[in-house]
Amino acid sequence: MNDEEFRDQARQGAPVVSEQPSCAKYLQYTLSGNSCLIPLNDLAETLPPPYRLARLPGMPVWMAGIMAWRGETIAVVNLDLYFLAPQETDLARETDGTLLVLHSQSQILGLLVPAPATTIAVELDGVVPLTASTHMLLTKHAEMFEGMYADIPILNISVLLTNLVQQIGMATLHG
Amino acid sequence: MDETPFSYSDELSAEDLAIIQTFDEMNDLVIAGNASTPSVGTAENTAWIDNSSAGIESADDMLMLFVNEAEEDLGTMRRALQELEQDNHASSPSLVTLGRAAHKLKGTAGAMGCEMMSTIALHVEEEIQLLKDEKITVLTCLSVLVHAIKALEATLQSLVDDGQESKQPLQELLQDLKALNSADEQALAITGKQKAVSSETSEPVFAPPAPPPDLRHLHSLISHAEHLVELYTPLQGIQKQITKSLMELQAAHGRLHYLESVLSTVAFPGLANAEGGQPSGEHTGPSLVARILQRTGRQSQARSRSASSPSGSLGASTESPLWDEMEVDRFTEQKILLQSFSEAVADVATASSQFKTVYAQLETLLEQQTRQAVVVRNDALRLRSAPFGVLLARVQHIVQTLAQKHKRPIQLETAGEATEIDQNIMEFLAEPLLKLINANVSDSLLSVPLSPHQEPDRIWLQAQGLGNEIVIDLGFSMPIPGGALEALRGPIQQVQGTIVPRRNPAGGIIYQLRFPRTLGLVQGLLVQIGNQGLILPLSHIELIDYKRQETQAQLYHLAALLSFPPTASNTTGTLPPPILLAGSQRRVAIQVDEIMGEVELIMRPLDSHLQRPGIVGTAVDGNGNVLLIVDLPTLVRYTIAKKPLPAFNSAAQAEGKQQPTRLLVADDSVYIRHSLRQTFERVGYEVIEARDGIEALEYLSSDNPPSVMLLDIEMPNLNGYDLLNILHAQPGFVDCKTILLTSRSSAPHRQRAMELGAYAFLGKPCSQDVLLDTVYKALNTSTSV
Repeated sequence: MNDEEFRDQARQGAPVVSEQPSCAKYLQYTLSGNSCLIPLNDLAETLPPPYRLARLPGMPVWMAGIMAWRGETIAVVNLDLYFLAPQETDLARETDGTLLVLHSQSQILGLLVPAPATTIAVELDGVVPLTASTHMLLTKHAEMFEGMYADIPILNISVLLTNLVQQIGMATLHG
Repeated sequence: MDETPFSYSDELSAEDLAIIQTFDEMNDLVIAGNASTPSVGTAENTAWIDNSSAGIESADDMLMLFVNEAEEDLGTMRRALQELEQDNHASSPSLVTLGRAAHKLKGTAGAMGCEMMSTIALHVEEEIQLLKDEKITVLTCLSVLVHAIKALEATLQSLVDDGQESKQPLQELLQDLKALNSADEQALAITGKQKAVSSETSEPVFAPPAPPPDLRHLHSLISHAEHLVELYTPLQGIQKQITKSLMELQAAHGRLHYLESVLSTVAFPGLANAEGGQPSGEHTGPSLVARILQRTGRQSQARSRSASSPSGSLGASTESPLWDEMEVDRFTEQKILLQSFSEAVADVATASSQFKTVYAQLETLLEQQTRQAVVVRNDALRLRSAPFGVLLARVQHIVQTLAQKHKRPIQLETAGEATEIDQNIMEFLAEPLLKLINANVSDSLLSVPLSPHQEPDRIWLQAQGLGNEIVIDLGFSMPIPGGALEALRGPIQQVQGTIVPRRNPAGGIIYQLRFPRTLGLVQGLLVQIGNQGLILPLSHIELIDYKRQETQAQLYHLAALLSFPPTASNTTGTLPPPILLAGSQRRVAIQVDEIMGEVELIMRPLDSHLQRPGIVGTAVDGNGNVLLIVDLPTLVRYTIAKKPLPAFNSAAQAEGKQQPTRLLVADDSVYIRHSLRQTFERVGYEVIEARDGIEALEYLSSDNPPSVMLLDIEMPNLNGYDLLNILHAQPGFVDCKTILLTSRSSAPHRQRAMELGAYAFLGKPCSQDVLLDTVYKALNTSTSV
């Protein structure tokens, strides 16, 4: 068998690899009884407590503080407070749970989510566009989600981070 | 005679038309309460002259003041024109001097009611602008300027001789303008757009040369880095030795433990059985040493009893000791075990000692490595540095050029050539600094004619390093036009520095620039607010008031300034001494919960969405905590600007129960100052005068500062913008309201003034009613107009 014949035989025997993966990994967490999915592609790191957070003047109520992460100073947002209490209230800043460091389009933010979270594999064919739903998160923050899987909304990290960065930056104007 | 409006009206800006309209309105203005007075200029139009019988200066005196000022301005314009003829290009600095003098004359003449002179001065400004816009040639501009200056002189002379302006010089000028400009248009159409001589093809004057690489610093960095790497090998060796020592120590401990258990079984079988028949390897009774001592004690007691008994003899005793004729030691099992035990104890001691020795060596090596790492870091930072002499060489070149050009001796005194400055900082500051020196010196030399016995002009430029800061003193012995702060404010802020002007006792002004030695490294005071650490740069701190003597200082708690919630540690208990801010002529102090000490850390800038007023960046300590780096002056100014100020009690003043409100008038024009003094003193204000920004700053820094300041822009040494920059940068001057009163009333000037914190912006000429009303509002409200 010469080299070319060998290559032909190898190609025939090799399994066909599809160009796109059929499933992706997501992190599922529960926000006050409502489930939500975060794509793992956007996850840079998961950090356990305790978290060394510093207070920043004029930061929004739902912002837990700022912290150092790999030489950068990033904002940390309590996702529970952000989704459930957008008004200015005197809520205590919870720093329990898991800290997810997410990145998208050169933006990096930390998100505090309730622990524990589970990792699930999502068949991409099963992801459907958002529909009218009584899901609490979708009624108020539909623009933050990019689809649904098994009736669980999937967070659009890019949109979420962009909105958070914008609102954090504008907070100082009204503080 | 052409009575129609000037044919160049299409080219007049809205501002210019407004000024001319105001002149026209002034002709119809009747000042309430003033008796009919002999007018100066065209009519009873001036708002500045009050010839009431209150004993104030007469119109003749005011006229003389105006004439003297106008002659000075004309002299400046003539000299600048001569320079322009020599330079013969559109970018000549003498154009700036000409424009400035014409502008000043326009404003003063307009305020005086001398419409002709004001209009001619306006034409001068317009011609200069046309030349800058390349719409006319240099030759045309020179011709126009010559005619204009002649017209000004003639008009002034007619004013002095006849008591009123002659219209003829202006009319002749308009005719000349028409003729000159039409010829120029033809010339431009034929030859195409004529480019003014510029630096497009030649080398830019102020292009900073590429700094030569400092090989000395590079070699030092390489050498120290190599030493750091060399420390790695002995460190590895020490680590191996420590591992080995620990293993030996562990082995010795194991052997000792084993022997202890065996020995206790052999030596005290009864004791082990009595304690429950425990295996030989396990015992919970007293330690082996204690058991040995107990046994020894019992044996001693037994010997003493037997020695005291009557039948105590070797032969009769049933327990007589064994007799070894050869006196040879008997190696019983117990004895061997004891010997092994003592050896094991010695081994443990030896291993422990060795471990301590090796550990001490490790600590020494780690300390060396840390020191070497710091040296390498400093070398890396120093690699960005260049000696101050690089900049001095360029300054010397500029000064020599100016001296030759103006044929005047200028002494340049320099010091600190070897002072190392971050190259990035040097790049930020070099160009504005050189332009400032060039422009100011040129302007000053043109404005002040050389007298035969005059001392040579002096400039000094000195640099020195103070801790982590570089201090540069730039001084001029001659009065210079203001604008230095405006030119340097942006670059200085970019390098986190400060600039403070002060008057030179021998005449002139000194600017002191302070900035960090290197960017990125911050030396600061680490303080606590609650559980959070913050860094206050040392450059912002004058001292920590341990003796609490500064009782007059305005005290602010840092938590309140940052809008942090109060914590238990800052509401009760003993607080540390307050921290006094530096560079503030009004004392401001900051209170924190705890002062930790000095630190030196690398500063990291914050992303745009995290930036906050008064926070310049962050640093991270050894534990990973984020420390905010606070810009105290900015934070204090930003925070207290939101607070309402005490209202002015006009009723109490009218009753005479309070001291009259103090106003400060800062204007280089004697005439304007006197006019404003008359206006405000008539209604009961106390007025103080300042000739320039430096003098105004001195009054503002005094124990009895004014409540309101009327500020001109164009002033020597320290102009209006310079002074506003200082007031804006220092939080101690929030209480004084500043009202800009200037003939530069265009929108950009207004916007600039409001950005710098001015309360109001009024254009000259301004009616008395508007002026008085604005001042009254300033004293009674807390928000800007």
